[in-house]
Amino acid sequence: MSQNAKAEPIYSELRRRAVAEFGEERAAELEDFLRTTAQQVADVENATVHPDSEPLIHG
Amino acid sequence: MAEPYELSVVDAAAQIREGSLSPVALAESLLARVDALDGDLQAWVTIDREAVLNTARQREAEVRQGGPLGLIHGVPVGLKDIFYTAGMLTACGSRVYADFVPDFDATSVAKIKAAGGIVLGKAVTTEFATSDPSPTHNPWNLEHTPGGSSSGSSAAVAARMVPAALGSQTGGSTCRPAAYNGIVGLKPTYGRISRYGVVPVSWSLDHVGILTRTVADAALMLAVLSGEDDNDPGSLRHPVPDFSAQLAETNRPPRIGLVRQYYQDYATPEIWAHTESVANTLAEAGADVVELPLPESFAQVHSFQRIVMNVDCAGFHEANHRIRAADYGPRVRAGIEMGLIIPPATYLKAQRLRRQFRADMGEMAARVDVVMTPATPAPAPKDLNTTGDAAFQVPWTAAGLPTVTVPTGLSDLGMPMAVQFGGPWAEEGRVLGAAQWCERVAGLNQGPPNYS
Repeated sequence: MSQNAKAEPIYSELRRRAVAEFGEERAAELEDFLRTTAQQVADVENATVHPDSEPLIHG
Repeated sequence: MAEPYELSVVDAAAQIREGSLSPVALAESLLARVDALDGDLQAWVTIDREAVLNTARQREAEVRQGGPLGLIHGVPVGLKDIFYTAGMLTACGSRVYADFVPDFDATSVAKIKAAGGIVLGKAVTTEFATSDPSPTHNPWNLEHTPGGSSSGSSAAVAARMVPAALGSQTGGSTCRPAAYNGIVGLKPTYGRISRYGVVPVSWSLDHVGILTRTVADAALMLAVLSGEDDNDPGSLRHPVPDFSAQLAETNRPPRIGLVRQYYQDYATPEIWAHTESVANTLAEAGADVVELPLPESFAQVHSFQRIVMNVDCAGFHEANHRIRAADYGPRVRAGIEMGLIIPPATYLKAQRLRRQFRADMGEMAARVDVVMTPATPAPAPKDLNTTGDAAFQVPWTAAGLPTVTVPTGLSDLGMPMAVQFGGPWAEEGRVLGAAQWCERVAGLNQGPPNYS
């Protein structure tokens, strides 16, 4: 995913994963959550992070 | 003379130390209060009365025989039902943990006992400290949510069923319900209080929180609970200062950075008008109030906090989810499931953004004594199917920086409103000092009308 990530293709990919993991029926129940998560993923993917910034696991 | 159940932690501990208050009388007063009110409020899930009274008798004997054990000798404390208590059910508001009885105490529980405190009982939590609402009601109005996830802890402190309780915060679960219930909430620096023996939502974001009715009580409880713990990989490797001394030093008009950007637009007009009114009152009393801009990295904080929280939550619950997904509540289950499908690279980028954000927020906070915002976008909603909105806590939780909420007024509907103070890393004393000064100048000095 790139720095001009759009929520719609991310949503499609997340939905594909949800169907694979939990089945079509459950994926349909998760529709609102998938939409929201897709936007969150897009926000993260589009943000600029300093190349030296390491993950903050505890802090 | 005040009934024992009305006493603050500081006052109860002082009276027990002086011999003018019996720990047994205090425990009996609080238990009677629970008997009288908990049918309405449903703040408690487990109370072992015999154990409470036996411990209180022991504390009384200790006072007679050798003086007080510690800072809160003889004072009962409530625990959110995600804190391990040896031999006592820790059900996390969940069917999955319905029979879970730990065989050791969480470090924070052990510290309370070592300081002479008494575990009054386990307070209701939302399921696994996430966002499926609990059965607890708000003592200011039973039709309004108490907030979450530390819903029982907050309602119990507000209704004078216990003078202090532990909560936790991964998004806004201590300071939001504190604001909704008109009490003080303290979320310290990440790692200041050990997370060992606390059922996690997110290893990266979880904080132990403190709920009291006064800022001085929050400082005292922080002194009891703070300290490095080898059992907690995120424990703060930093000296524990004398918070009470810091409180005394900084209890003066502070330089306050009021954040208008984002908060004014997101809050209801009533909440923002109240926040400005509090800022004006503080300025008239001598505070230097300036406006602070937010760092650019603030724009993504709610997204990367949620990504980290959901993936960590999925990591903890994956095995149970695989075999009994239907036993989870709808929102916690959905959060776990989102966490299971978020790409690993996205999770790591979220954590990298978080490191950057922590530095940016630290720089912002260092420009003043404390940063001030409204505590919540709106007063506690009249809706028992929500725990409210944690948007104003999330940035501070994601940054791991300390915050204190102070109740400062009532809405048109009679529900509490509050302001939130934040400060630099490991500067709880500075934040508590400013909060105590605000409490004196602009604090809401009343409890829920029918429960205080």
